Amino acid sequence: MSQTGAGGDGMNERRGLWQRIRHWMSWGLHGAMTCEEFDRGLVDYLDGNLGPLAKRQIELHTLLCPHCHRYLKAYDRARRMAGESLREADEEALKTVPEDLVQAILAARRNGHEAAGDPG
Amino acid sequence: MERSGTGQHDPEDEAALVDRLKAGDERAFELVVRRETGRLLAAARRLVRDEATAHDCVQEAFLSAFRAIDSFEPRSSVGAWLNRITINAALMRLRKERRLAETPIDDLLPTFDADGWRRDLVEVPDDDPESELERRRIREFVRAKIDMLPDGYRTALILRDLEGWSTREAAEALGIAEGAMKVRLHRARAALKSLIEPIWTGEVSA
Repeated sequence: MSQTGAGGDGMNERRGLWQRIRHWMSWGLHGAMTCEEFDRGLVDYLDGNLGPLAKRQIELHTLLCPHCHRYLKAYDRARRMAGESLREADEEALKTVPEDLVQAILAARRNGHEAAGDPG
Repeated sequence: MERSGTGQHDPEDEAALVDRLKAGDERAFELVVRRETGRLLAAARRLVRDEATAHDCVQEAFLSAFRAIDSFEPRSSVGAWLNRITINAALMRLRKERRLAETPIDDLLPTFDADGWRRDLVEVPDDDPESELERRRIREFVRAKIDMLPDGYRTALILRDLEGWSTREAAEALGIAEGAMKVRLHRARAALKSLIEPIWTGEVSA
């Protein structure tokens, strides 16, 4: 599950900087968005469906916010791994096609034709 | 993204095959059944997660596809066309069994403070492991975690991140609005991220 206590001194420094940035952002840094707004825009951002301004806002937030920077990386990796993992299972499945299913489909096709009085 | 279920075949051979299917050639039908059943069964299994139901979906898809072969337009391959019909048959089953409803997975979703700032700091390594064995173990672990997702989320993830369907196509297939589809997909990805994170933090080994 997500961690809050990880990281050494470097991370603590960055977190301190992030506290200050958040403060500026709260006071209206141009184009800034909260982490929650960033989160809501992720699907469209990764699909390339955002307009130029919204895209810039996401990218600015990614640059400034260490939490969302890492979150995006993990989210994107999870998305990629989902596809890779399921595709690998497909390759395994293709090695063993159940002959009984093939025969059942062919029989159902023949029976369908016979029931319809189709000689083909 | 490359779409799943699109085994590559020579376009000319494919066009000739479609002509034979349209002419009612039984040998062509058998050829397609033998060529595509494995891939279609994998697609159906992923969604319904029951072997007998997956078999039914594939059989149903072949029969309904070839009843409608005259309406097949060669914009896609026969394999991709059958894949879509199989997925729709599987989704129909899930809908009938009311398995696609959105269920709470709040524990797996990111949390924010009252001002909208993220609470959690995620651990994620820079690179994938070098060893193929290790990567294979991780993929197995990820598949197990995908299986833990409720059907409504797992389905959204499969349609978008594996099958490569657009948000609109997936929303239509699931019978929900595009906005709802985006939310569901986002939650599915976020939940999966939380489920596989222990591998990145070293809390568990794959």
